[in-house]
Amino acid sequence: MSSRSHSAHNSESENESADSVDHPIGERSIEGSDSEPSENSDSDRQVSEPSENSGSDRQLSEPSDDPDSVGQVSEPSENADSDLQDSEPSDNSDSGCQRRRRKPAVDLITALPDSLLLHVLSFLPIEDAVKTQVLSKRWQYLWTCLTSLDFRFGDRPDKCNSDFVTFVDKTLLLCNCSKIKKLGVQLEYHFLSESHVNLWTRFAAVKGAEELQLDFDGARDDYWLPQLLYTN
Amino acid sequence: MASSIENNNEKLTLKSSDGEEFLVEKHVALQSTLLQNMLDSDCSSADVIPLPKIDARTLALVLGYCKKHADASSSKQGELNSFDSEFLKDMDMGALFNLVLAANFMEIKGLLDIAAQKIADTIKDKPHQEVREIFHVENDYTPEEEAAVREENRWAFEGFP
Repeated sequence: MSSRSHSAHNSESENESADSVDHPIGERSIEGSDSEPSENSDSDRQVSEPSENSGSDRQLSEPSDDPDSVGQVSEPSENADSDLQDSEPSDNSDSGCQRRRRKPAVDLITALPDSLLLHVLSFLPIEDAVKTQVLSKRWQYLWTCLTSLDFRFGDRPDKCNSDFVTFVDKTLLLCNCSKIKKLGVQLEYHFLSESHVNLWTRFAAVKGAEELQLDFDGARDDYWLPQLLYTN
Repeated sequence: MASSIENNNEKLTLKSSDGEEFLVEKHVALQSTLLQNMLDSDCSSADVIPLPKIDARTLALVLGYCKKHADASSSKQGELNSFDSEFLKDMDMGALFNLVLAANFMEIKGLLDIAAQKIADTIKDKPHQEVREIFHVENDYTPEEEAAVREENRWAFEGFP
């Protein structure tokens, strides 16, 4: 089996995939475990509440917030809208001061529960998702719960292949999910990377990945999937 | 999805958090898995279905999306795609976030995905300080902590890409 582009399915996890794929976002726990049965809609409703509340509580308790920065917000009515717990309709005549009293600090994206932030991160290239850890403490480990990891070296003549390999290694090392949906890697494969790629494929197997996609188009060397993968 | 409904002309009333009522055709409401489950399990006997977390402005947007998608035939995917991109164009962040929360609550996967994609597009390729400003994220790292995070993760910030 000497191909340059593999797309292997982990048969062990395939029967689970039907259950897990269609889970609404809200049911996806941060640990990436999708063992929760999906049935009633109540469970979805719960999800958006806790971190939403904790987010706004955190804001309320922050004394260090500069009051001027809140007043400078250019779209006050949207900020009002961002607080779903606020049942009052947004009122255009409302002044910034009143609004500040109700919502002392505006942290729009903090109003989203972690499960939704993760969903947003899943639409980013993985390197951008990883970098969001510097935004705030809440974001530091959020990305480690991503269940779909797609690394693309792309067409980067300025970039070093070994830096990319290191990036994949370290990202996978910090992955905090007990189960992942997908591991995808696209790079110009070189035989020197073989031991790394072998580990990545085993990582995918251990994490019960539903999809493993290795795209080694344009590689000079061939890559053989480790036999270990087939004995799962 | 619509094929499972016996009577497409049936309507139901949804009530927003701020008390506004929306009369919605059943096949439009069925774009929402939450409402579909409620209707399937016969929880819909109530005259009005309250949606206590969704304000009228957001609910109107959500229902506009649902109506377009419920009414379009599957052969018009291209038309739907352009509707989707127009739908979110020029939408402010507050409205977008409310839309994501509403789509998640009402379980409207298509809407959830396009709204999350839109937010991701806004974050992408922007310096962190700018992202913090756009989303009003308060940086609760001390300068030392932030430097440490960057230092510990130099592989992500200075390595690839």
